[in-house]
Amino acid sequence: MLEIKKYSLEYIKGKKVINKLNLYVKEGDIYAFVGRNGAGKTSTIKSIVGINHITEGDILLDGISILKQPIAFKKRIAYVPDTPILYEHLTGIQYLLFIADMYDLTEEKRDTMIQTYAKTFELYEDLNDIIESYSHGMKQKLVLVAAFLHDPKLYILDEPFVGLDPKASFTLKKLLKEKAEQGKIIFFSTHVLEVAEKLCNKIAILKEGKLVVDGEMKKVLQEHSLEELFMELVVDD
Amino acid sequence: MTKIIHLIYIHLLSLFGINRVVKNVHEGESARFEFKTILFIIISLLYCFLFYILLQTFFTDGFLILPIAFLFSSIFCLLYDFNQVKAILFQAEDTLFLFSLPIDKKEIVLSKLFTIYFKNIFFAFLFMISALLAARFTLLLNQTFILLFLVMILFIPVLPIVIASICFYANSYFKMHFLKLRVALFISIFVVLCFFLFFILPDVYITRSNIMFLISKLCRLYPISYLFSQSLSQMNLFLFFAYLMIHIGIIYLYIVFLSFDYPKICSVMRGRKKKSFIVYKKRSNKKRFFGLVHKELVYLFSYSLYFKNSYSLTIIGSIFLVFMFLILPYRSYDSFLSYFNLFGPLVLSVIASLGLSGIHAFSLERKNLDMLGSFPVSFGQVFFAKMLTNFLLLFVLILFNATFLMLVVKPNTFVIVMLYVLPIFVSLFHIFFSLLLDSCFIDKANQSESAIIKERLLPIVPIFLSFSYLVFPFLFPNVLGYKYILGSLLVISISEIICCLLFYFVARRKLIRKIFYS
Repeated sequence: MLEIKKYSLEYIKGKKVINKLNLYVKEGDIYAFVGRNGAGKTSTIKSIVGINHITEGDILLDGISILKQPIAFKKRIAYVPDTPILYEHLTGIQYLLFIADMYDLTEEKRDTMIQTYAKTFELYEDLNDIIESYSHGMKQKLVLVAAFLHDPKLYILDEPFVGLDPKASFTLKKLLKEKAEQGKIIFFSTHVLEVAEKLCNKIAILKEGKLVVDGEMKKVLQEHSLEELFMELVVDD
Repeated sequence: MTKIIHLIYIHLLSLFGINRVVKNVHEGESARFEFKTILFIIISLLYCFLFYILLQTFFTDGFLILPIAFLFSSIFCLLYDFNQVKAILFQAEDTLFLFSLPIDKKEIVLSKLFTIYFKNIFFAFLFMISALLAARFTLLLNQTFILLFLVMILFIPVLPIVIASICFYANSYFKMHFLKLRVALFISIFVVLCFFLFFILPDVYITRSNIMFLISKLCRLYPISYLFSQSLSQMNLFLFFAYLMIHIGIIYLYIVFLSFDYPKICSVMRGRKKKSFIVYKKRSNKKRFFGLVHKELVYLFSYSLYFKNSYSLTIIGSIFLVFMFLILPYRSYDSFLSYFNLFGPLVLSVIASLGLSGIHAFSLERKNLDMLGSFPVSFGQVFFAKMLTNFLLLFVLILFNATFLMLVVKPNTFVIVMLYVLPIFVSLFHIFFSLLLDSCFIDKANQSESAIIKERLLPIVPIFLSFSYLVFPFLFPNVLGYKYILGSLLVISISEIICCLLFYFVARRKLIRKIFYS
């Protein structure tokens, strides 16, 4: 279970970007994290994966704290950033092997996982090419393959559908559903509300660093669409 | 015909910033010539002046000066073209666009070759005119001679362009299809060169007359250069026309050959190669740390600019060291030998510490630091993996240089030990210090002018430190001797490493925030 307890974030002292955020995400949940630009979604995600400091509170995964046991915490997660961050001068396969090394995968598991996911995202044939020559969509696919390699407990995805072609988007949605069924936690931010509405069973809406909505998608929406709810709660005018 | 003229014109506009200069002049800003262009011209003229002085100092025979200059210009053009053929002929962005236009393939090839030619002819003219000036007193300069000379200069770049493009194509082909064979070929060339340098060349007594003999032999060996010198010295028109016809024939055949399958060659060169099998490497049990080291090594070797920027000074220093002992006649100077017998370790330390990879190691990661931060690796693992990688490459150079000096200078046991130990500790300190410096001053988010200037200025600090070691012998009184000086330097470098370690442990938390946090 992912627990975000009284999490606050300050970049400038006294100016809270996120104010005492509490979130609990259970196994099997696909959690959509939505909000306007600058609401604090990416900052929160970066704190969860350990690349943003935490001013107050703590973030735990199965009782392991990101502050106290960062290495053990990070072993259980996979992070997909909003823009693909890659070593452009490496080849696709070199990058994936490097990631596998970072998560201590055995040779057998590593090779199987690379084959499985690279073929799923139709990237296998291009793995020997230099990443620099990849298109944006291919880079995004490579980051996704890298995220699935070590079969983590928690998937943190920041705008994962940006740049993907319709088929890859469909594949990703299918994979995320499968992972959730296997008891993994999916936590992702998106601006595409239709995707969030169809794919997720839970939702959190963030406004100026505070949660305005948190709960089961069906209960939250009732008879509205997510877009209508979003406009009502988040957009002022 | 008009198409080819237009194509050449378009390509020529990009040469030496001509287009921007023309635009400035058109807009009434005639004074604002491109700084880069002016700098380029000044540096070229300086090189030519140097070339002129060298030729005038070392050679007296005018008919030896001209073929030497011819050979030199050809080699210069050849080296220059290795880069140019890739950028202009095979991998230019505009080539694919040109194929979509109703232009004949031969015209496209010709226009591209012309672009490379114009870049070459500039250098060929500068060098050859310098040579003519240096040889003016020993030649009978009349109108016919100068006319023949000028016409023949026009053809100098032809062969280098053809050879460079064939070599580049062959190299790329081998790289794609026979990578292992290519690596084996390079290694064997390196081994043969080392064998030649270590065992054969030291036995040849190098004098000025021997060098002259070697150069004149080389000029005769290159048939085009021989033809050039014979046509001028005998004023033989038959040889002159033979020279022209050979060039015209070669370039014509080359254009026909290249344009036959030019689009395919370009697409192959741009990376559309046949798919190969994925090779999974074996992994060690030390997993994450060596995974990081492996990534650093692969990245360093695959990012050529980073590699060149990091190790060029050390490699040039090492080559210069070997060159000094083997090629120049200094070898016979006792004082020179005795200096290296005493202070060889100091010189090697300076050469080793010129490796600058550490100073960019973190800042080059940029956004990747975010990913590294999200991996289950500690800051220490990332830091020391970078340190080990940077040290490994320097260690190879240190071993090479120390062994070389040991064999050539034959010093006493103390100096032999110091030849290996001192550069190792000095380079360890330098890498450690550079990494700390880089991680302290890294500015991930800010890409303002001041941040860029700060990044560029940072390498000055380790370079300054490296050269400051050379002052070391002068700081101690002569009576203390070289053992005391080398020993002190070793103690100082070990103390510096300890200081760096202390700083690392004290500032660790701050560094983690700086490096890993967004």
